[in-house]
Amino acid sequence: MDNRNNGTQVLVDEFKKRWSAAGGHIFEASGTDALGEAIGQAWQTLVGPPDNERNRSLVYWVNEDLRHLPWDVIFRGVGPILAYPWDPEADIRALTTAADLGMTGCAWAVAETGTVALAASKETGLLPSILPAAHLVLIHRRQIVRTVREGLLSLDHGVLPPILKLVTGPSMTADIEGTLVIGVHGPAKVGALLYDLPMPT
Amino acid sequence: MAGILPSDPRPWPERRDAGLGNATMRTTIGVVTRRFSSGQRRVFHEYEEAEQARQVAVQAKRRAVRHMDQLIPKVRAKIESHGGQTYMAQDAREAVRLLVEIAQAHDVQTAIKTKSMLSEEIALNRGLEKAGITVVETDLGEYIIQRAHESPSHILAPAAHKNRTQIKRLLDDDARSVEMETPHSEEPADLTRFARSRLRREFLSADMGITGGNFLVAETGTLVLITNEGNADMVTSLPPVLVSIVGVEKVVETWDDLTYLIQQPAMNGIGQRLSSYTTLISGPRQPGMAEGAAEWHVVLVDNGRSSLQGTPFEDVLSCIRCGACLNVCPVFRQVGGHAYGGVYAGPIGIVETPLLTDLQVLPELPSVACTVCHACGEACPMDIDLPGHVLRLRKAKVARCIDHRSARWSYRLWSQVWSTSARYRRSLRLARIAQKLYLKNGQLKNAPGLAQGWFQSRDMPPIAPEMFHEWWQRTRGNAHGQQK
Repeated sequence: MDNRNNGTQVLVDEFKKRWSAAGGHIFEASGTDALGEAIGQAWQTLVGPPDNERNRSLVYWVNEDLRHLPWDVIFRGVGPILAYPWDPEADIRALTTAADLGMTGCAWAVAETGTVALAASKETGLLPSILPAAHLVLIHRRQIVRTVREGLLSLDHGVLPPILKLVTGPSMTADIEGTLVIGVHGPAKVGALLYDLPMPT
Repeated sequence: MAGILPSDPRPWPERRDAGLGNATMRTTIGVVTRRFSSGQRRVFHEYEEAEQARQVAVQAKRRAVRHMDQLIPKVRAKIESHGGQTYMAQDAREAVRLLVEIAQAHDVQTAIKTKSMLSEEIALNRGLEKAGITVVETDLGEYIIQRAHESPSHILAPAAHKNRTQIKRLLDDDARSVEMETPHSEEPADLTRFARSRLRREFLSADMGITGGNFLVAETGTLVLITNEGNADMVTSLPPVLVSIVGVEKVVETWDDLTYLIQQPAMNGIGQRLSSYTTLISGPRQPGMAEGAAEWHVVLVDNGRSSLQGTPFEDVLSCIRCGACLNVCPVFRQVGGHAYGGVYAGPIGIVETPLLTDLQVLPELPSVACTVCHACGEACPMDIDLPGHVLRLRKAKVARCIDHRSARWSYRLWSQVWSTSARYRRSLRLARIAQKLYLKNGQLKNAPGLAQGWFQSRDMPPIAPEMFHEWWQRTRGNAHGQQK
């Protein structure tokens, strides 16, 4: 057990280092009670303070292990935000385009490259990770693997999702005079929120 | 069958001088190529297992190009089993025709596109526009040069030859044409912000998306796209129809092979462990999903590639278009991409363009645009024998009498004269007399005939009053003995 925890900690540290080096922000929550506060910090960093002129909004989905949480209550704690759960039936494209933040879970993450993998399905849409100006991805600490190869091999490649996406840092370009500019078509700000759940006994 | 590739009709000296005279391009190309090539060295230095992965990746690509014929039906069957449609185009014309047909069948008015060297190779945009279809490039660099009606000057930095003032002017014009506010300033951040909102409109309204592909995995039917901007994600998730054009050499055999290859373009191209976005498409959208194209068409293009199979040039097909050879090439760093006159610039370009076209297009490149310094051979992550191929192509050109007649005549005379020692000595004695016409301040400044070109940028010391072999004949190496 201890070994496993130590192993996880090494991967978490490496992920944090690589994700930050690629230009991403790191947030952490130990236990579900701390999630609200961490999301509040992420909101401040990735989106900014509340705007009195208009309502801020987000589109979100989370990993299965967090679905039971009272998300409405959590977001109310963050501020006056309109929170739309991912729903392919609704006019989700317009909602996501207008959103200030996309919040998603992930399939796995990679320590060695600072990468998160998102697999498209009915319940887990990828649009929140590309259309809004900021993207926050919630990662269970145990979802981090060491290499890209490990992550890719963990998928059942007999039934791959129609779209699988590896995100390593914000959208960027150096196409004008070789000058690095962050935030072209995708989000200019990306955050990773690492969480932990109490182990079931 | 030979491929069809577009080329600049201007002769090499004109293209070269245009490159050398473009100060903007030379500054930016200098910055970009040095950053990329030092990045490549750094990422391998700091990443212990990277070298081993690269070697496995090379073997995977070699295996794939050798067995292309078997992998193509395999990947087509796999994609079709996931609901995609596949096509095979033998050459550029057929590929363009297929794309136009797909677009017309869906009443496409506007298509959005990611960067694809193959689309440049087959002159796709021109073909689609002729059919009345508007194509919008979405990679920032490609979008800029599309506004200027130019071609890319570097695989990874297509607009490297433009400065911010020129770019601002192009984007101002584009803003007015769609009644948008012009960019606030010529700062790269403001120009990029404008492009974001300008292209966002196109992303949300386009009827069709067009992508290239970095890899296509036969085992799983997966297309891999790599970008830093995120435009491939938009193009693959938003329009209802997606068309991917992929060179047949991009097919790799297994998912396991991909795990070694997937980081190679970023590590060797820009010195990052992965680019910001790596997108893997394995089929059209499934029922109930809110994103992804409802229809996915994959057009495989040969255009001369399979003619290299089984030849000493086969390894050229394992190129992953990372640009590492361009970044270290002393010729590319000076003349830039446009001087090459074709779609592919730098060391890979001077080898690949003539090879794909059976030496019909730009056959001068291996002779004029290489100093045989071998830097490309060292930089190529796929171990392609680029310097060896340059020499092999030069030989092939002589064998097929492709060079200019006066060049052939000069070389033949030279080899006849210098192939016996007596004639070699006589030629130098003659030259010692004749050089008086061309001596200035003790330096040889010019020579007759073809040798003139050599002296355009160089001087040479004159032939000595007593040459080594004359001194040797006189003294037998015993200078002291002679003095006695």
